[in-house]
Amino acid sequence: MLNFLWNDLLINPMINALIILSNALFDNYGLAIIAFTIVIRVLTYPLTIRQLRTTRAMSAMQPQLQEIQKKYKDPKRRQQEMMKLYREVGFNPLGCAVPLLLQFPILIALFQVIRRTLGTTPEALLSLSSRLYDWDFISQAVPLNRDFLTMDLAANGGFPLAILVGVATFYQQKFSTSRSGARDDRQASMNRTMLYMMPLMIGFFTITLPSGLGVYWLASSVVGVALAYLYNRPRNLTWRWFISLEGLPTPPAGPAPAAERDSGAPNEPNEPTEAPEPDEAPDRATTPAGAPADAAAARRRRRRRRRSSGTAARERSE
Amino acid sequence: MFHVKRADRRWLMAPLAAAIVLITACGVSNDPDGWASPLTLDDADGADVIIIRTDREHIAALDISVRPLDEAAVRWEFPRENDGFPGLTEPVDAHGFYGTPALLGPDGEELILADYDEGTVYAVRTDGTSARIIFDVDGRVVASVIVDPDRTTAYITATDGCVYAVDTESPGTATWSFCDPESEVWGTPDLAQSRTYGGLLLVPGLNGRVSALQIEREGRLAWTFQTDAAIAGNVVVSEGRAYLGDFNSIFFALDVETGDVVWSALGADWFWTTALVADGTVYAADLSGMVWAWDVDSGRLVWDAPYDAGDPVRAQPALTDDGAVLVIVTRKAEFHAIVPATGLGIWTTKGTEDDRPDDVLADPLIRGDAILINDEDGRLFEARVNVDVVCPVFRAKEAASACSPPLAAAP
Repeated sequence: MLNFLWNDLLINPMINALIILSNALFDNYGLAIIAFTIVIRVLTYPLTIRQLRTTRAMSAMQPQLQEIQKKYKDPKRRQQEMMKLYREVGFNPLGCAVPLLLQFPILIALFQVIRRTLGTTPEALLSLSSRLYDWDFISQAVPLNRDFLTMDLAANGGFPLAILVGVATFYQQKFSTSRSGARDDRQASMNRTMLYMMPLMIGFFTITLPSGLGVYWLASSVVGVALAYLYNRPRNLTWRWFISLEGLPTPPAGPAPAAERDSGAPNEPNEPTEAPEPDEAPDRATTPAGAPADAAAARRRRRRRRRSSGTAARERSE
Repeated sequence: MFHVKRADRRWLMAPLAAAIVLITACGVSNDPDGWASPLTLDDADGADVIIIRTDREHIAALDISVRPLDEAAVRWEFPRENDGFPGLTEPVDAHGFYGTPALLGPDGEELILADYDEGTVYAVRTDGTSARIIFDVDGRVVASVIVDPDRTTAYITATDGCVYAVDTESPGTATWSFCDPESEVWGTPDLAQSRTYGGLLLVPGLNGRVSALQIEREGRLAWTFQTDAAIAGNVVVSEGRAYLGDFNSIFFALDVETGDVVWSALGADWFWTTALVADGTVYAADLSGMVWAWDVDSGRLVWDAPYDAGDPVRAQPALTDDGAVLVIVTRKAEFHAIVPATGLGIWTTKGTEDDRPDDVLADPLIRGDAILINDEDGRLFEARVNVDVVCPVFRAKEAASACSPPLAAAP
């Protein structure tokens, strides 16, 4: 069953689609990889957006979460308070993991498909035959033309490609993470670490794996940068920011990013009407540390007042 | 900037773990294993020696008259354990032997081995005493090296699209070469004799072009034949015809004089086997597992229907010495014994559950009534024509678990 789902419903259609694309794009496999990556990234765009939203919301809640962690030493109580906070702001902790989990098999499949279609060894090409649909033009397209921009897509990627991939990954990371500032040192440190670790790692893989995969990573990262830019619409980016190890500056207070408004993504079902949307949460970063906690306390006071006034009104009516 | 706090180290592990999962999950092996077929050596000292591939990096000479086959049966191994070999100054960095070894010299004193990855072609003395490099190509070598009938000139084809004619007595330089930069060469060429051109070398290209090169005229092109799809299988020449199949599932019989199609037949999947021509019939199997038998003159299917072996077949069909049984071995190591005249199955067998061949891409070696198979793991298996048992006989210097009762040594 798993074999059927993985191979017949995912890998084999992707292999054939990639070969058809290569055929359509002037027998150029490099262009096919780029086009296919863009198609896949666009198809998984809703998942990416959802993940970005949740990541930002999580980032915005860090001060409150830290406060809870400081305040409550009992793990059970701490967990309860954290869940309470999630409910109050309408945050779903699984919201980050689910899109990632859904995207992961697709990315792995794409990775596998590229390696399989490259047919770098005689055995790989031999195995490809069992995965192709019985259409003449597909059989005629194999083996694929592996030359692309002076590269052999089946040979290991060179340093120029690795550097390009590293730079693209670096900016994808930068555009996808928001700066937490002094209010969360640990997360800021983690973001900085990821900013240079991921490009180094992916760059290393590019050198040690077929350059076709490097082309995929490059295309995927460039699309990732574009999507993150469209989603975040950052302003006032200076040249210093482009060479720094900081994520995106947190946006000033205001409405949710344009891309998100356009996407029409629904709010969490349990989102209270008076609570801020998760995506509005980063706005609070512009206020001094501790202010979001004060705001939460104010909201709690308002709710208590409403409840008590409602009780008083009922008593009066009785 | 690069100082990482202890608390953050675990976060470093996250991308690392993700990368490991990614690479593991994407585990599509791209290592070249090789599929060199076994070869019987000319009997030098009365021993019964065959050459087999023991793993992706080694070729060994095995005395199969020794039973059980264990380390004592290994006459020599190329390269040796330290990757060296007498006569070679540099260590051998071999990765994948695809071509079937060929004998060189008037008495077959040397054996030609071509390393896929490095493109280095070695001549190893059949007694294992020394080796020498006879040529280095820029590309990789998938096809077998062809040696002329005098066993002095070697024709080496490579993925750089070139054919190199190398005088093995003055190695290192090509006497002549012919290159088709638009195509790699994976299939093994074959020699033909033409009334018009004299000696021809028919070279199948991965771009679907067959080039007929004139041997006496330094590889000048005699004719070409173009198919619509790739040709990765070998060309076989017999009685003025050249037989080959392509990735469009079409099998061709070409006229060696002109390159014209004499007849063609449609298969069910890619052809990657080497055809077998015997008794007026050409046998070939495709990657869907269908085995075909066509009349050499008309291309008419000799059997009522093709034989369905069930799994892809890359190994060449083989006939027993008496021509009574056609043996087919599938990639999944299922042996099929077929009546050559009718295409009806006699028996079908796999090895025992716990010790069966893993992946069979090399051609079988028929010796008397014994069928020897070298699987992708480098193990040797033996079946008997009249006994539907597959017996593991050799596994990388160790005797494999023997059959009960053990099969006798081949005559």
